[in-house]
Amino acid sequence: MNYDVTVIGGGPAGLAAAIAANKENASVLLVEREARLGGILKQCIHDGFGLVTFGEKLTGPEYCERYIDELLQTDVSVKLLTFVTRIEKNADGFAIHFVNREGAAHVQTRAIVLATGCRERTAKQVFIHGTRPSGVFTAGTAQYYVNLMGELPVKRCVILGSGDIGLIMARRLTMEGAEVIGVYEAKPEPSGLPRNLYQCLDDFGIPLHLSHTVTRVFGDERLTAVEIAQVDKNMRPIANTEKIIECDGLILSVGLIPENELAESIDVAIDRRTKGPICDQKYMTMEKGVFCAGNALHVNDLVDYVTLSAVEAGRNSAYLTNKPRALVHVVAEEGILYTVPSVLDVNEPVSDVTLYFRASRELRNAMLTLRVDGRAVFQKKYSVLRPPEMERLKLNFAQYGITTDSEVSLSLKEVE
Amino acid sequence: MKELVCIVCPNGCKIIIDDNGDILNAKCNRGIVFATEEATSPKRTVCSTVATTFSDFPVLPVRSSAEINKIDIPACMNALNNVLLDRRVGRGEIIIKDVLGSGVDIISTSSMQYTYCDVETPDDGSKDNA
Ligand SMILES: Cc1cc2nc3c(=O)[nH]c(=O)nc-3n(C[C@H](O)[C@H](O)[C@H](O)COP(=O)(O)OP(=O)(O)OC[C@H]3O[C@@H](n4cnc5c(N)ncnc54)[C@H](O)[C@@H]3O)c2cc1C
Ligand code: SF4
Repeated sequence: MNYDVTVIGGGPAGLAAAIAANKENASVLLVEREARLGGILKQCIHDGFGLVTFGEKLTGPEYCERYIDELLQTDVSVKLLTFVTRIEKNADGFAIHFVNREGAAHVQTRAIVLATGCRERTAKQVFIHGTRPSGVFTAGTAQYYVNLMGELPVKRCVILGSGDIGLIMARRLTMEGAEVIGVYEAKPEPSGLPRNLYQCLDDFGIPLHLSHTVTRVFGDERLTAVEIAQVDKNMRPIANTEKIIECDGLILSVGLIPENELAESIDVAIDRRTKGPICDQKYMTMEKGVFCAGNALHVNDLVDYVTLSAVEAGRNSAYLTNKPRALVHVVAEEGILYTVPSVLDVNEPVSDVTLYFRASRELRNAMLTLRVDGRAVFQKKYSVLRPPEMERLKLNFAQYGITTDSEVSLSLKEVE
Repeated sequence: MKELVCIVCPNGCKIIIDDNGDILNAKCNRGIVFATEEATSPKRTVCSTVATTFSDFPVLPVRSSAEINKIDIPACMNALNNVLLDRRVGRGEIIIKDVLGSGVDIISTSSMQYTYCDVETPDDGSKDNA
């Protein structure tokens, strides 16, 4: 079977991309490894989703089911419980290999939208030493148990890391009757959004300990205690500040990384800052015909932005041409952690580009400057910028006469 | 003086209520309304789950249809813990009417119709010689 577009992943990004490509009359296949569509939002039962797209405060399931409703009205083919194992490049596009209950098979497609989401960093990635008892979960795993299975995985726990999912789970576990002793963050600043610190921790009197980390875990089969220590500014534990806390659960909320095994399998160039594929303003990666959207591209803090970018990726995937690309890098200079897109294809329209960026540290009264060949062509002032909060800018690059020889850069500087 | 974070929108403005009761640093009017309410009778939307009798859908996510008083959250959780749902409901259906006499309903936030593979799975892949 042949498709114009194959979307891999049935979360909010995949749903929006499939619907958008279908609207452009492309034949679309959506592949999802789980039994239900919706991706991670199925388990995000708290509200706060959809303010940008719907102007309403929806829960995760409500948000994604609006798109599922819409998808089921279209003639997009959907394969559930189907895991994409491999992508193979060929003369007519790509062969998508997958396995499901019927066995292993493949389909042929002209374009791909990678919408595989992100995964959580785990204990191995944060170097916790000690034994390996059960009772150590990522916040997402704890969320899965509580919100989808209806099981309380811990009675008395410590949360390591102040990421949003950890904060949301601190509240959720407390509401379900577990005791959350505290949230410990190695950095001197919390990484979650202020609103989550306020309504998830302050509301329930859960303390946040900054510049603290877990140094050891105890227990043979099940976790019995953790050792907490204060850390210096290089994140090294300070001697004699260790404290033992008895608990049966350690919940890790230490960050997310884009899921990119499939992208790497076809050598799609990865941005070392976003950990997702490098893409242009059409959300096409450096591999022609391979598009990327949502958390697989870069970790978003608002699902609304996931949807908006996926709509673009889906629409563009329906119009694949043989036109060669002429790429210009948008260089992230001082104060900018990264931008998405990070390259512009000047052979394609650049008059309506949505640029997402993150500040590299907390900045107050910061001036954002866009430079073309050293000349400041656009400036915007921000009263406060924080790395956890992504910013969105609409830019008309066409008016700056950008060519492949142009040097384009973005920077942030604090001003008076 | 009291400091709080506005939770009405993702901006999360740090609002200050000074000793004269004046509200500072709110970027918009909704923030002023929020701060006034926070200082007098704080309200929250409750999002949780209720148990069901279905093994493929053991818990159903629910929320309060509007905000309820913050001090009523534990009692509301108690009411939710006593529910055992034995019918498949759609999204938006009322699960508990007028919870705790607050005038607010508890509604389903997910459609239980979207369980396993009810979307067509076309068998159109070319089989691999595995
Ligand atoms: C635990 C957790 C909690 C979060 N909480 C919030 C929150 O509260 N608010 C918020 O705004 N954002 C939250 N996020 C971010 C959230 O992920 C995004 O807002 C949004 O869900 C991203 O959508 P997505 O479609 O890119 O990814 P996902 O929702 O993760 O969807 C990816 C889909 O791809 C499928 N998939 C992956 N690989 C394959 C494969 N090889 N074959 C077939 N299918 C595959 C997965 O099964 C999944 O369904 C959270 C993220 C995580 C991990
Ligand atoms: S004050 Fe207004 S802008 Fe600021 S967080 Fe509240 S609602 Fe948002």
